[in-house]
Amino acid sequence: MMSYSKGLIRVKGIKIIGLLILFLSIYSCEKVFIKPKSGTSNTEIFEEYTQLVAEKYGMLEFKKVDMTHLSDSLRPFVTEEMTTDSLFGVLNVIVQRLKDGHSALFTKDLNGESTNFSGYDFISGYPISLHGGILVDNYVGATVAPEMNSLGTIGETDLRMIYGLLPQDNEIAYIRIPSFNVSISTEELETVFQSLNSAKGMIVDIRGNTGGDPILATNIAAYFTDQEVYIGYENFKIGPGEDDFSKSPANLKPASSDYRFLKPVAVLTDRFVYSAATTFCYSVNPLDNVTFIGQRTGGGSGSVAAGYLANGWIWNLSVSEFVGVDDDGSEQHLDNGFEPDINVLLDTLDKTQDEIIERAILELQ
Amino acid sequence: MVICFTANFAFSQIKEESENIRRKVQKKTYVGVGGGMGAYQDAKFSNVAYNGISGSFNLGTGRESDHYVWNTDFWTRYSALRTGSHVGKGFYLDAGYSFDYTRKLTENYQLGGKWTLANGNFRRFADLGNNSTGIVLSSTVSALGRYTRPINKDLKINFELALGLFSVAREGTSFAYSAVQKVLEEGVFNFQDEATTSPLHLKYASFETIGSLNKIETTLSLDFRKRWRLTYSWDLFNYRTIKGYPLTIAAHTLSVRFNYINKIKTRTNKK
Repeated sequence: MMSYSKGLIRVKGIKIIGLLILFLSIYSCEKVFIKPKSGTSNTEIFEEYTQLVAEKYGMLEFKKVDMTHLSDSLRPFVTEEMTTDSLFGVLNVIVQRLKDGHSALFTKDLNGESTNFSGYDFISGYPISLHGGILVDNYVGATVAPEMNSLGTIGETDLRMIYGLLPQDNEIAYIRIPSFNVSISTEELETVFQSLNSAKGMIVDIRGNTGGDPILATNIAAYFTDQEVYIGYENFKIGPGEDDFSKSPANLKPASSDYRFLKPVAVLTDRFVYSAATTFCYSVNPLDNVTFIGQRTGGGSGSVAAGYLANGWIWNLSVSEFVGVDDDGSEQHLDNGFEPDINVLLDTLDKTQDEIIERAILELQ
Repeated sequence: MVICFTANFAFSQIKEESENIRRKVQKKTYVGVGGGMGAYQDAKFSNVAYNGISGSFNLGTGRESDHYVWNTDFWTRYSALRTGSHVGKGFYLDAGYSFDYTRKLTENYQLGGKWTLANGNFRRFADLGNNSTGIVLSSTVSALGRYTRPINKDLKINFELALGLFSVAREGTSFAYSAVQKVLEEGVFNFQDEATTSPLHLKYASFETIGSLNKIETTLSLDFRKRWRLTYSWDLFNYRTIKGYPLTIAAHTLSVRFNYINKIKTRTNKK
């Protein structure tokens, strides 16, 4: 009897041990699914970044960048003895070669502060085309334009939009959108466009707007058409191969509103018009009632992705390219911006007028 | 097919034998809390595997008769995500609701299925701009096996393995951009179409099977008398929308469960 009990206990014990072994084997599956992490040596980081750009960057062909050639030419400069700052300098060459304001590489310290930054300066060399003082003192400030409205407070960081009729010509509406990195509801847009619906022309001033939410940009653009319009296509990187792209054709659908504005529109631009502001531009560009006035835009038409290198450096890359259509139907790559229909410079020394707004008023009268 | 047939056959045998006898059904409703380690790797934005301390909570109910066991479970889990390689940090929040049903093949072995009706994983790395958040939604049907064995009158050991067979899933990030891979592959991305831009819209969810979506859930638990259960569980979710760039989410959790309702009802079968 005793030996039978002992035998039973032994069998139970073996089964439980077997169970534990099975459990531990299943547990070890995790190591199969989680890829071994990349190393953080200088050469490994260099290889990781160059491979990343080759696989993910969406405009290598347009930018005429041969990543194989570029990485081969830089590899001899990467050694294990070099400092991380020097390595960052080598990778900076790649970032600069992309000539893309969306593509950057940066580092952060323990407090989340940026310590090194590498990005392309797409503004450099272009003139200033917006002067806040001239704008407020002559066009939108309470003293000269008491009827002008705003979402948020003019001059404050909560400003989302300025809208109203211009004091220079109260049949011309003016909308200023300093950024698309804000939230503007459909109800607010309805209020804005309803209040301006009687104007004979509209100025949409997006100078200095470096982007934000492309959905908001598109929603506003949708107020300027009553027909669905083909505006181009976005070519997305969908895999690591050099030909792994997929085109998403884009149509601008009219806003579901009674207050769509189909009369002449002047869009004011400068080199700061970038990213989602470019989305707005390419969305209204094919429309016959829209004229661009000001300076060349910044571009940044690609969609952006971000991630970590193994050592924690953060990369941003454009992972698509947008090819728009002009009002004559021709295709236009927009990553380096585009020239407005009417090129106008701002004279910052003359504080009594904004030449770009004045030219738009003239165009709409 | 073989599994289903075997389970069904065993069930019919048991059913015939059990007619005209008194049936006992144990009902329980429980709450559980736990903690452990979470792990996360999305090879689309980093080769680094992140992990960190996690906490979990679950709430559920179940019934067990001489022939079957079924459970419903709602769970939520938070895990910090860090790495020794760099200072970047984030977290994920996982929540879901599941239903499982098993037939008792023998006193110790059970076989059946588990349907994770809805499982959502929200990941955030604040540093990553447009890729700072990642949302994965899925619904999975798994084969479920369970082994239970009393150790003595107070203790019972249980082992459970659920292996995902097929799923409907939607991952908010593609190979590169923060849109569903299927949306981009089909060329339908449009800022004015919420189905292609919203991180929660299910229109472009995909049907997935083992290989492209692997879901494994294991638990090893010890029941103490009627009220308490100590559980070690390991869950793994591995989803690959692009070959070579999988998303893997795992969690090791040690939890304590308390059956705050634990009733046994007895019924006599009528012919």
